[in-house]
Amino acid sequence: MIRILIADDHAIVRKGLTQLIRDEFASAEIAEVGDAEELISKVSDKDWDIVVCDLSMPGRSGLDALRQIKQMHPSLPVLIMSMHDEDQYALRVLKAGASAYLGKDNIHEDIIKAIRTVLLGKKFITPSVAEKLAQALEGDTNQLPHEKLSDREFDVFKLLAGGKAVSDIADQLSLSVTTVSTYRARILEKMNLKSNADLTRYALNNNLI
Amino acid sequence: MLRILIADDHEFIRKGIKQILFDEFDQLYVKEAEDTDGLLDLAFAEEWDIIISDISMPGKGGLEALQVIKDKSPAVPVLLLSIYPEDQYADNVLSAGASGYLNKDSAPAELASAIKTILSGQKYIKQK
Repeated sequence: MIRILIADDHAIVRKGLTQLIRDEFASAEIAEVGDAEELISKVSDKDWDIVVCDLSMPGRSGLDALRQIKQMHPSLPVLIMSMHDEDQYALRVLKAGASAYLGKDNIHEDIIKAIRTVLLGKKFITPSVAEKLAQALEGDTNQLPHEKLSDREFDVFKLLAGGKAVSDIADQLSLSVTTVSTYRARILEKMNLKSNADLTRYALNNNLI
Repeated sequence: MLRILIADDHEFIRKGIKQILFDEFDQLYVKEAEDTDGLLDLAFAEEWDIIISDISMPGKGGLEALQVIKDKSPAVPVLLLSIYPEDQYADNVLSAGASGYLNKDSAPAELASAIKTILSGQKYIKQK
């Protein structure tokens, strides 16, 4: 029996995914959680064969949860789903250890194929993610400014671009205000931008928020 | 028997809504449409107690479908769903003839509550 844990803050999405998976794997044990904290807690509590996790959840992101899960259980396959354009997040998510990156637009077609593939110990790569990987192999000459950021800098960047104050970000990521301010300065320098408003504009133009 | 038509271009969203409905209501008859044309075909092919439709779908979209449904079958209530927050769309959608508007973030109980309110003949507006 396959044990699958689904994490998404939308109940409609969780229930829909559960049904899609159950249609194919009738005997699967499927549990649902609504945020990253609950996800980490469930992963700590018992063994799972696959985790299916939304990238954008309130509080800690799916990317953050992915990193922690891979530290706790390096061999546990994690499939990351996203509403975002695959080009924007796929590489970052795969580098962090995900076994697949699935855009929600095609998830009804991809999720079952992805589960079957990762159960064989492989990664599931959609054609558009494969194209992005191929581009990345050509070198970083066309690297976008946000692609130069480390994962943690990228987390801080998204929160700043979304209008969060430095103190709120410090609380959310369990960092000191000074550390977040240092990240902010480094992000602005790497991206050659001057203000939080520039970050917001950049993020909107690149479909990052 | 409650007769509900669900329209959304994402199969997993239709399945999610359907599962919530079966959890919340007994005696259901549900059909699904995956685009605007399918919604309009089914909307007039059978009688419905309520139509639940996504705003953004391939084809004309949920808002244009709402206009056609209200022109031909004004008594059928339509609950629109979208990924956008209620305060951005609710007023426009309700004045266009919808009986309610819900964000897809909504909890299952809220979807059930919206449907019950609408079936009692009222419009559903989320409490802020």
